[in-house]
Amino acid sequence: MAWACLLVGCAPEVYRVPTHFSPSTGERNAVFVIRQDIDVVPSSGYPRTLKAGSTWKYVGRVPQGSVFAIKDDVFMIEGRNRHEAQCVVSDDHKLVGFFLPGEQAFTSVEQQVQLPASRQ
Amino acid sequence: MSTLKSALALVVLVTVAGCAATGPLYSEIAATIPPVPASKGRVYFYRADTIVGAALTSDISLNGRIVGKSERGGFFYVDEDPGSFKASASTEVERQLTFTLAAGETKYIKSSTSFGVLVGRINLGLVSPDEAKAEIAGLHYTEMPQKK
Repeated sequence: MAWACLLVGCAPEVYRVPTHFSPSTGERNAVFVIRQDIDVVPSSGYPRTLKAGSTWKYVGRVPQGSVFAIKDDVFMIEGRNRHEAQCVVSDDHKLVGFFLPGEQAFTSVEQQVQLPASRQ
Repeated sequence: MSTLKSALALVVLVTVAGCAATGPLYSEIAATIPPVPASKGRVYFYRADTIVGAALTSDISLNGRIVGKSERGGFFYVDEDPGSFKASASTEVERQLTFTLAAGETKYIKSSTSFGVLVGRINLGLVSPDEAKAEIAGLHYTEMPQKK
């Protein structure tokens, strides 16, 4: 249904709220690697997959959690429009949403997901 | 009757195929493309040479400024100061892509077409450097970057 809507143009806009991003000052060089594909549903309703083997590097913080950007690849979320997106991870290592760096905004996921990831 | 069929086929072919980009191939000018200026980032825009939606074209805007055109089989690039960007393409609706660009960084944005209500749509999406470089290799340079 969601993809049919996207096809004919009734796709909803990604719901997002302004947030404040504090970039990493190099105090933390955390990286995690996704061990298996993870399907997540941003608030726009269109599912995304965090691909197995993808590497995510800590780039800073927003009030909602730590921000990790994909390394050597690209990641977007999509509703009516597309947005470069970075994972926002809580202290207990759950994916809570996405930071949209091009808009300094945050969008949550419908259901938080424990990341099956290994830290490096 | 057969003449009518041939004429219809020609119309369909022209509609579907459209006009492809005709500038020099990437491989012919790659050596002349200057490096990214130290204080700027570079954004490549390109569109694969595919038949579906080939007749669709659109200006491409970056933060409201037209920087080029989405043409089948074409690519171009612009150098920009670091910051946040909104790229957009319009047919019956406007589709946007938001992203950031850092100094020294190169990003690749691919145009693709999809079905619309009356006419097709042009969507913009980020593509990984490896995938983009492989695709751009066989495309035509469409225009010089426009000055601000």
